[in-house]
Amino acid sequence: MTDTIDRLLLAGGDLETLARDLEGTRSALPRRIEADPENVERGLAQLVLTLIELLRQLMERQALRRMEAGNLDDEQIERLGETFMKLEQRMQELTEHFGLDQRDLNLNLGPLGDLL
Amino acid sequence: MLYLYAFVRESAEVPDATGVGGAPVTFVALGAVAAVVAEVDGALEATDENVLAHAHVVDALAAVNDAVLPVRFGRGFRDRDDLEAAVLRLDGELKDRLAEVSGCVEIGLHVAAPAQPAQPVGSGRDYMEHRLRDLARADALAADIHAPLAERARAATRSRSVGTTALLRAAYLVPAADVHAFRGAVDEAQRRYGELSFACTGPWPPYSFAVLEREGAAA
Repeated sequence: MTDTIDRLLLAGGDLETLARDLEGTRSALPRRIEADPENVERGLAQLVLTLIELLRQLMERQALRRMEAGNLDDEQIERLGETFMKLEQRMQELTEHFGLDQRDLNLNLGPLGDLL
Repeated sequence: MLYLYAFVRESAEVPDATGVGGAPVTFVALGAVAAVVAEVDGALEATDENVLAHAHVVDALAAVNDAVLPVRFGRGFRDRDDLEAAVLRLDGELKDRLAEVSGCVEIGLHVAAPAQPAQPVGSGRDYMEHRLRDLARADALAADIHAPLAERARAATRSRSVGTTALLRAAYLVPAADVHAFRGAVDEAQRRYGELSFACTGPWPPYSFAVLEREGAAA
C-alpha cells in the first residue's frame, strides 16, 4: 500500500469520488460473485444489473448517434427518449434496492474504455 | 510456462529479484531485445499478492535500466518457442518502442466530474437532447484538459469513457527529468477546473505504452 500512496503526485477536489474511481480500476481484474448465503443475492444482482446497464448504455448511445445523424423522426425520438428515461429510473431503483452503488455496475470494456 | 514481466534491451541489467510465486527471474536474449521471464507452473491467479509481486519485479527493472517495456500481469507463453514466435510477430517494433520509452516514466491522470443529480425533464425528446448536450460537454472538457498535457508528453493515451462522470483517464509518457514540470501543468489544470476532481499518479513504469498493450488494444 505504501507504494501506492508514494505515487500520488497530486490530488484535489472530491477525494471520495476519486478514491472510488481508482477502486474501480480493480475491475480490470477478474471479479468473483460473492457466493456465501448472505451475499449471493447481492452478488448475482450486481452481475445481472451490470449487464443490463451495459446494454442500456449501448442502446442509448446508438439511439443518440442515429438522432444526431438525422435518422429518426420526431415520434421515434420521443418514444426512445421516454423509454431510456424510464429505464434509467428503474435501474436506479433496482440498484438502491440491492444496496448497490452506480459504481458497482462499472465494467472495464478493454479497448472501449469504461462503461461508467 | 514462461511467465513474462517485461522486454528490455539486450544489454540490460537484471536485478536479483524473486518474482510471482517465488520463481526466480531470468533473462532470455532475443536479438536486440531481451525478455525478462520466470518459469512457473500453470496459470497464475490474479491475487493482490501475485499482482504486487509482478509490479515489484518491473519496478526493480525500471530502477536500474532506462528502457523497460513492462507487460501487464498475466501474460504467459507455453515455452521459449512460443515466446520467440510472439516476438517475431512484433517485427522489430519492440526495439523502436524501447527507444521511445527510454528515459521516460508514465504519469497517470484521472479526472472525475461530480455526479449530476438527475434533472427533471419533461418529454422524451428533452431527455435525448439533454443526454446529447451532456456527452458533448464532457467530451469537450476532457479534450481541453488532455490536449495541453499530451503536448508536453512524448506520447499519450486516453481511454474512452462511455459515461459522463469519469471524464478522463489518461497516461502520459514523460521524460523522468520533466516530471516536476508536468505535475505543475496538472496543478494548473486543477486550479482552472476547480469543480472537477483530479488525481495524478506516478511515476510508473510505462505500462500503457508497452507493445503488447497496443497489440491488444487493436485487436
